[in-house]
Amino acid sequence: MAAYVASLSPGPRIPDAEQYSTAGLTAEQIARGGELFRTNCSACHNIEGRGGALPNGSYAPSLMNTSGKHIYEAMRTGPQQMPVFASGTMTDQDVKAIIGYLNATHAQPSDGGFALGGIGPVSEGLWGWIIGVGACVLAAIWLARKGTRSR
Amino acid sequence: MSNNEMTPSDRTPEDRTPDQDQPVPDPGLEPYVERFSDADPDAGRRVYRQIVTMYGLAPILAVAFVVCYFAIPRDAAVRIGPLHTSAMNLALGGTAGLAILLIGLASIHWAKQIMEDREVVEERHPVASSAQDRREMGAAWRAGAADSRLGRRKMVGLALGSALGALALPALVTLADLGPKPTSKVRAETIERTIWAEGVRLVNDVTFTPVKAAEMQIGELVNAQPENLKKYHGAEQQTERAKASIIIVRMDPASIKIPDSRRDWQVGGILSYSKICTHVGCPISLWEQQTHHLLCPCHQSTFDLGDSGVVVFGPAARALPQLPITVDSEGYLVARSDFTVPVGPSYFERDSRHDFKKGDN
Repeated sequence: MAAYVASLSPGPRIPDAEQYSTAGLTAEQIARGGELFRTNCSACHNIEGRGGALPNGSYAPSLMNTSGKHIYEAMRTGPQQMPVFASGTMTDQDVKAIIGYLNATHAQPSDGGFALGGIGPVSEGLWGWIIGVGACVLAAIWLARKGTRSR
Repeated sequence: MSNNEMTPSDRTPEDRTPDQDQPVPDPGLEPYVERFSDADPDAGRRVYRQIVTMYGLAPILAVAFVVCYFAIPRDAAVRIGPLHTSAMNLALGGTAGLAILLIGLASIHWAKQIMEDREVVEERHPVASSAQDRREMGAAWRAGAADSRLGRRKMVGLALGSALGALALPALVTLADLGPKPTSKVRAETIERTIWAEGVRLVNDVTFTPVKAAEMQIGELVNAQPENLKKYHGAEQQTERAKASIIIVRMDPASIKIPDSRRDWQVGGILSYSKICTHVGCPISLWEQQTHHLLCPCHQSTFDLGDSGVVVFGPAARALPQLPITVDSEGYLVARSDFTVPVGPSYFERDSRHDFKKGDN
């Protein structure tokens, strides 16, 4: 079936493992990958690749569990609303660096307490307002109550 | 209400008595009922023990804080379900926070269960000083004014006034000189121009590799900069980058509207727009390749890059400025000129007559 679909229209072929393998990337190349990710990808996929909402119900998916092969294929083909990042301007080496950056970022322990989904100030504000301010209101009600009486 | 014909402003504070002033009669206080901790000696002792225990735990927690501070290694981490955190932070915050919480709870418990709780009424008094105080103050003021002899030696007052008034001059001059005056000449050299110029190559933002027209595919997005940005350094580079940042997109020419006036601003469906939102200047690169819409993440302004960048949604008031581009002899994308209108957000003096409006051709 794949051969039939491929016969209908030319397109990029399935990449070889060496095109997206992050083996042997230096720390400098991974840092460069971070720069490329923040410039080209983070607008939709969030600063650490957790995805985000787009207009009319579409969304940019999370990259937390996306394999390097799928990231490579998505960049080269531009599925759905995602733009294409073709090899003319984004070389295989650049794509490798981006995948390496994502792997390095996601492998880091996040020891900053509750991450709340890592989607930024929205979830933090929601928790702060509903749980934090809610607790303050309940405490104020308790403080102002007269308390139980003996009769 | 019928017997209360005087409005509050008709009465002096001296006329006002608590009884006459109320629209409804004062119901007085509810009869006092004892708390359990007063009525039952056992309950009283229990509350007493609870308060002393809570206060007593605070010093223990304070000592625990110091022990944790020295005992826990700095890089130890705690993982309980979704909670990942530094063990040191958890222990220090837990002990100090719990100690403060217990002191607060004990104090509230004390106030609510042991302190005297009979309600008392405190009458509110008029805020104004008494007539006698006001008379004395007036007399003292007039005596002081007479003692200053300003009535006879008027020049002293005038000299003091002009001395204090003149001090506004240094403040005014320094505050007015905080930056270059935004005259039309200064604006034309700063916010109304970018480093784009005829023949400047469009290069990839991070790698600074030039963009070849033939290598761009339909649906492709490139975040780009002018090649001459490399000549600038430090703060100057940031200033120029903030104005010159662009995005390049390639769309199927048959699926987009290209006005006649902009037919030679593009290369086979490759169009270039400013990356700076015309609302408040956020950088935008959230592009949907099928709808050709560019969405600003800050306030959801949406621009249609398939229709000369006109606003289709959101608070932006002006279309996204388009950069006229062409190809050089080697096939690389180059600018034909600077932007034809100032990029970025509006400002008071901006001449917005030349911006592209929907329906222009």
